[in-house]
Amino acid sequence: MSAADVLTTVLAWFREAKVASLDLPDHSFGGPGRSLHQLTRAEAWNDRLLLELDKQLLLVLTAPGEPLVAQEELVFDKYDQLVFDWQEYGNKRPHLEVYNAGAVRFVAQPRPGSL
Amino acid sequence: MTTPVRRTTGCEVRPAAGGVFVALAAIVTVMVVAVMSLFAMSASASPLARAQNAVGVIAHAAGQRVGAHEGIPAGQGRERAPAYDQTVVGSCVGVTAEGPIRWGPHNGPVPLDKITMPSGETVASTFRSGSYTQLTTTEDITLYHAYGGQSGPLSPFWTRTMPSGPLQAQLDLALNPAWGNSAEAVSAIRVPAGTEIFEGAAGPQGVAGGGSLLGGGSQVYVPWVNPDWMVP
Repeated sequence: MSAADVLTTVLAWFREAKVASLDLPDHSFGGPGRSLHQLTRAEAWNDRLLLELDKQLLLVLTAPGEPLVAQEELVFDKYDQLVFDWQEYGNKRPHLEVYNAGAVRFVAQPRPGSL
Repeated sequence: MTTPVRRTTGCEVRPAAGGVFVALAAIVTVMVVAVMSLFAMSASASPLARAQNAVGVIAHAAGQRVGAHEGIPAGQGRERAPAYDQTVVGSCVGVTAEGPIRWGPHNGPVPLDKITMPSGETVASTFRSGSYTQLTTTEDITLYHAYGGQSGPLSPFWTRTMPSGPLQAQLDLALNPAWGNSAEAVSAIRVPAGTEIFEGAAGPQGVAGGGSLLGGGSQVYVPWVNPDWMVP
């Protein structure tokens, strides 16, 4: 599956989900299920996939494998490298984290009527 | 010639004629009230002037109704107006919107036990004593969220109380430092009427190294947040 195909999958999933929390390989960003993010930009080129959240979190996946897709989750568990380049909310302090393994998980809100 | 004035003291017993009059007046008043009450209608149901048809629904049979503004559903067991059956022919009196439902360990399983967060805890457990109220908003309401650092402006967790600063927000809302929420900024959403929310007091959060944040502030869980609700 090419990065362009993965991009199509991501766009379709976020179109339904609207917002999602982000679980990185080593922690839940912003607290478990506590912070919701909007996809504000998505691009694919060569073997790279770039996802921008809230106009200030950048995820660059190199050679992403086919993501696992469910209603509630979009999971990337195969990739060569993930660069997470982000600025803090409120003050834009920069951070950079690099991962070579581990699942990156977007979790949608529960479906209306599921409670 | 003058009539001598007799002084009385505070403890002296005076002639009883006035007291008898007062007692009689009281008895008459009680009798009038008693007679009027025979013709009074029940306070909890209104007599219908014409036949009406509607559908009655009570969801969440295990739920405990609370709140001052709840509707009166059919079959709730409240006394009807005495003249109802004689003057009006109709099917059932209808039910209005579902009222608030108080959930907690006493009447579980509760709705927010179904939502497990990545940490393994349920959303229900983020409320103090696992107790909260489920309700559908009847008017637009404004909710606030303290954010910053790793935490963005959108969240399912909100508060009715405008945060007054990072420390207050961290203590009252039990914002675990491990979450990376600096609470230095505040976002707001305008939740439209008809939205289902869950509210109660924020439960405590244990922090790394021991101790805990007690919480206790207003916490509102909004299961389906629409980004369009953001107040600029």
